[in-house]
Amino acid sequence: MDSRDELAARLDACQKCNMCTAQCPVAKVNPRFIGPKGLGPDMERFRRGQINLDETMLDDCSNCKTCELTCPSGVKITEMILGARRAASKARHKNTMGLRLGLRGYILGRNEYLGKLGVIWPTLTNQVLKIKLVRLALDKTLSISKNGPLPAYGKPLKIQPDKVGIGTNTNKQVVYFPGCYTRFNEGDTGRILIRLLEHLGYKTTVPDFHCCGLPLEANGQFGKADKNGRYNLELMRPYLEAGIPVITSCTSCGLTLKEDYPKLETSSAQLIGAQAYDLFEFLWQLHEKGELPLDFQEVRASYGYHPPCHLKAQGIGTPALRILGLIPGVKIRNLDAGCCGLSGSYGFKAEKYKKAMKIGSSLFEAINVGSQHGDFQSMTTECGVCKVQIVHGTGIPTEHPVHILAKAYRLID
Amino acid sequence: MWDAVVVGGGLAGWIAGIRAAQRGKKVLLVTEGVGTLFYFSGIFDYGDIEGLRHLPKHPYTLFNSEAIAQGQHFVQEICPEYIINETPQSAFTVLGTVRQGDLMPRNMILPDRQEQGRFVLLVPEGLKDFFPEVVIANMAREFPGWQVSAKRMRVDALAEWVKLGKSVSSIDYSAIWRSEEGQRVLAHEIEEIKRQYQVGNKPQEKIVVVLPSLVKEYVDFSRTKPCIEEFSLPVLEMSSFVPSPHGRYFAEYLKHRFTDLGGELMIGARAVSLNQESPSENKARTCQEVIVNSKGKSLCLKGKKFILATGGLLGGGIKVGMARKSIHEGVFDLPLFVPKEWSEPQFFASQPFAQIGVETDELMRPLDPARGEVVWDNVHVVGRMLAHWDPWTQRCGGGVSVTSGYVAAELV
Amino acid sequence: MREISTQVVVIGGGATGVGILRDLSMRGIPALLLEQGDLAHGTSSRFHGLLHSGGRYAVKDDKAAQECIEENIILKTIAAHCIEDTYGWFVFLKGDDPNYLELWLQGCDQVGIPVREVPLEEGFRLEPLLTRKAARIFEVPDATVDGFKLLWSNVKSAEKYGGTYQTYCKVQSLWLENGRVIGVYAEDLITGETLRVRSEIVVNAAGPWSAEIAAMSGFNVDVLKDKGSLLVFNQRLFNRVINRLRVPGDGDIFVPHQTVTVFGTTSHTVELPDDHQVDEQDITYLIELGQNLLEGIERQRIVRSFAGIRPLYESVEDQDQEGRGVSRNFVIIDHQKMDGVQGLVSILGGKLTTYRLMAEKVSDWVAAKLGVHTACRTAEEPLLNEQSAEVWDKARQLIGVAAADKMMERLNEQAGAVVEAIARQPLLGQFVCECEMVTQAEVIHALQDPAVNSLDDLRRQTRLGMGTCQGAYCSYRATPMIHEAFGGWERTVKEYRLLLAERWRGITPVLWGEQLRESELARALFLNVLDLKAEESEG
Repeated sequence: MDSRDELAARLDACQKCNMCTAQCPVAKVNPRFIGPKGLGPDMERFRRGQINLDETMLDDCSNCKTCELTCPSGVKITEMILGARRAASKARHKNTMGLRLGLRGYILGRNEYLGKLGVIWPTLTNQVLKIKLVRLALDKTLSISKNGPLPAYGKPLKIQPDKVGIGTNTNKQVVYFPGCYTRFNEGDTGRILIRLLEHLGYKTTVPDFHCCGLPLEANGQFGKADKNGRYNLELMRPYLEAGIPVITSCTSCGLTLKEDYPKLETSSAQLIGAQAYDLFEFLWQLHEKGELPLDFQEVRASYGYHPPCHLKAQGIGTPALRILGLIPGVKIRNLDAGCCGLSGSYGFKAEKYKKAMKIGSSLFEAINVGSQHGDFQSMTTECGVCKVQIVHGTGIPTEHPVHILAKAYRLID
Repeated sequence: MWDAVVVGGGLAGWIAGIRAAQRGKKVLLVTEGVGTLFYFSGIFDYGDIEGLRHLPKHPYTLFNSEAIAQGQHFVQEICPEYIINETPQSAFTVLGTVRQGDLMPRNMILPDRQEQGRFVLLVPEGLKDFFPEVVIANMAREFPGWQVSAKRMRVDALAEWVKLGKSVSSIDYSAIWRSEEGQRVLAHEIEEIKRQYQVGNKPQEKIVVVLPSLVKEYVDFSRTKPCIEEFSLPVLEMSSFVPSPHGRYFAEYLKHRFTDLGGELMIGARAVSLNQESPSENKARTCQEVIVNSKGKSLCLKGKKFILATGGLLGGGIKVGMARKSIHEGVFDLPLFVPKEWSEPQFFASQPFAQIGVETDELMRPLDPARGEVVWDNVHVVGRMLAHWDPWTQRCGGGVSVTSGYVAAELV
Repeated sequence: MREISTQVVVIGGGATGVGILRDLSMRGIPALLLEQGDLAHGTSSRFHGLLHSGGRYAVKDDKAAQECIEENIILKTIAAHCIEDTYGWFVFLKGDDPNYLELWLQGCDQVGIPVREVPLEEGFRLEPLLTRKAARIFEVPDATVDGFKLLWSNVKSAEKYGGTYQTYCKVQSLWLENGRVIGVYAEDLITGETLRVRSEIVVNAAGPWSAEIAAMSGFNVDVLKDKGSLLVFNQRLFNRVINRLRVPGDGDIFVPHQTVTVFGTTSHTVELPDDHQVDEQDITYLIELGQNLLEGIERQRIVRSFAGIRPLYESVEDQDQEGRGVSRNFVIIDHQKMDGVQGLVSILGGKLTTYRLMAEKVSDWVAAKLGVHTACRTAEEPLLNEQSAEVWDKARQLIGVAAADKMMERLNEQAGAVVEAIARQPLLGQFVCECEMVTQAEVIHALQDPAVNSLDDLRRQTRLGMGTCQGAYCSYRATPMIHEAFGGWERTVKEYRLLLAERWRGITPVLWGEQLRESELARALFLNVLDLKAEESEG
């Protein structure tokens, strides 16, 4: 079945029940958005007839994939919407607003460049981003919300050259795909992850990857996204061919590697899906094989856990919870209270900021209620931008679960 | 190794998963989407249990009355708002007609038709798929002794929706009723109704406020702020249309019960096949693991027991190919009972195709209909996957799903 | 008994009948059209929706081919709003008869059907689902036509010129006096009242029912009732009409129609003019044939099936032939010559593509009898299509581009009132039918038409119930409108049941896959959520 056929079959599966619309975080807060069913399968029947449609509405979708996780019929709703955006982006008219949004798409889509810029003078950039005037200027010139959270920049994660050499000891080697956020905004998480893997006996290579492409795609930069994908796959190719796993710690990068890369037309695209692992998915596999050391020290701490949308979309459950559940002393509660609202770079956009905060409100409420009950003191989640949004919305400290595991292994304090 | 792997996140799957987790078992629940719970009107139908038991091979023939009662109590245990009565109870449908049901929330149960009083239907502005004129006419017809009136209301948060002519789904309205603002607005509206009708000439008149998409059950106070408990007049819930707020909140509530009990949820994954112990002649086989398609790769999920709750035709657990050349169960490729006649000429008749499903032994293990032997030793089939019933004409959807899910969990 | 006088009575509200009504009215001849059901409920809505280029008849029947290409060009001008100019492909498959291909190219050339060969690579790019067994592809000016819309446009135009019509009015007998037909007796099926209509001429344009009409007075016309079954796929599988280039046969045409694809047909002679039952065997046979043009056909969702009766003219010399061998040409029977009775004419045979020409010929005959010398203008004067750009823009703003465009196509000059209603009360812009994007305001507007007497009539007017859900959701969403228009709950329930029963007849022959799930969902909605009473099964 070719991909068009597959999508057509998925379109046929739609029973018109509207459950996706009922669950869509964007439809909840944006009355102009006709919702995933409307924009996806309903409109798709019209698009097949080459009927002109409101193209601007396509941008309202935040690409969180809640619809796909809701659909009782397995309809690839987000994929249909992205496909239509892809087609529309080829024929988009240029007016001033269009140009401004285009430029913003360019900036927000290029976390990587923004990141590289930020890390040269991290303190300066962080200060600059905090200055109201600068934020106002970003708002006015690029429509990047002046109120929204923007991630801070810290000491970047360095490239880790392949010191082992492929094939010398393939069992104990991994490639790490840190993603822009870890690389430029939260290098610590990446460094801890590498130490942890080393502790487990794995040599970690971090090639000089480009951005995975998801933010580019979400901001309508489809050509660039594909180009990045092919570039990254080329870097991974020798490792993939040697059967070496590729580890991600960012759930959005992970989803992109697993879902989008296999569609790219390059030889290694066939391999990436089966060899890409979320860190904890990888660790759980080790545990099932009895290869995960369980010599944890007690960690007396309680956490609320937020499963990121793009983790759920991977269809692997919540492996971080399973692993952290093995650590004595750790109390962890899966809040699972919906999308945080930021969805990549969606919430950074000026016109989407309020909506993003509203989308996140039930999650914020669950966090506040839980922490007030004393269920937990801090939060943990895999996704960097979810973390930024949670801290912005609740003020509760939030960290990547790898930190907790590293504490249990006595790798950090 | 999981103690139980439940495949399918509909009513039967959740009940099985929660009960097994409650019994301290390590449970994994795998589901592709949210299942068909979003079609749930809020009412569990059990039907004429004794009558249905006389139908050959009906799922009720697999359970004794004790098991059925245990299932009901289990629902009550997780949702204390559900009431069991000796006699069937009635509720308003979303069209204002009266329907019977066996297990329904306290707030939904209709007052006695012999009494006299007044219904005031609160009509939230722009509520999607809700038709107040029809509802009022039907309520007046169903309750001849009662006065029926309507009061329109709006919520400030939705002003933009109204201005744009965008309707608001009942799920979004029920989210508002759960918020502080929504509670405040409701309290205010109800107070006004009280003033309008009680201060006037008939202070003794019984007034019942009727509110669509109010879902008062399934509130999880560990995740949401408590709201005002009582209004100044009794408020009656209506059952829901699709996508149903009752179904939506019930599904979320069940999910949280399950994960809070330590259950592991794997959503967005489709179970596609299985691995088995090498089969020996004349012996039922044991399933070792099911294979699940996650994004990018297949996962093998090892378990001691497997509970198949993939929802039959509607849930997608049974696929019927073009011209019915292929009819199969998607995970274990179980043998199916397929009726000879397929459909009735009248749409609203009991349809033969609805009887399609897996025949089982009394432990709900799949049977080969030709030989009558158990196919898998450690697989239990629940809910709509079972053969020989029609939930819509026999009105026993909730009963079969809850009971089978509960009993399967006891077998883990 | 009510008595009406007019100059001409036209029996039958199909394409031919309304074409005649319009033509006569434009010539200033007072005419009344009587239709036993809703307009277009018969053959005119039970066909492919194909506007022939003539390519299909290029080898066998050059006269029919000639008429088709001429009318094709005319209709694309005068009825552009009812036509989607998709173009059509004739696909020659590996192993098909090369002699036929030669004959076909010659035939097209002779009757003037423009043919362009499409390079295979381009063909597969433009139509990715097309079979890779295709060896050569030829493009001709086939198009798709909306039968409902075409009929309604004719009626509206006729009304503008003084023509009148009455639906749900069944002719009971011809009114004969002294060897002359001087009118008809008819029953108003809604009120039960009997009507006597006096006229100078009666035109029998009743399609498959024409033999029944003639037989009322003992006259015999030879109509071969040829049943063709068709399938409706859930989505547009092709963007062009796809024909197989071979001797015309069963299951060789796919027609993209708005959001769906219609595929057919079969050919069986039947007895009854309203035998619309589809056999499951025909369906499996069609699907097998469809494989030849669309290999993945088994995976595509079929939402329903339907059948229509071709009223083929069976002249004496053709009588030993069946179905497809019989001419697709039409014939006008002057019953004075045939049966010695004055004032009655029957029009038989033909096809939708040539409806206008048929109407012109009949009207010429009628005009000659009545001594009217005004010439036919239907080939030049466009059908009403006064879409105001202002209304259109407003509609797009209010309900979105796709929904607005579809509504404008359906309503044309009447859209203004609907758009105004939505502007005044924005909630009326909500969709009753989400699949075909039909708003509440449009449904309310349609219900004001006295010709709309049921939910099923509403379906034909608005396309509600014709999309993916096949009435599961939209009949519920139409509740407040039908409750108000038809009065009360019992009637509302009856309308649900009638619409769903009508849909069910078309679904049962294709009851598998996703449509089976949808049906199970519809049962859950109506029997459980809405608590309608189950029926006892007949078995």
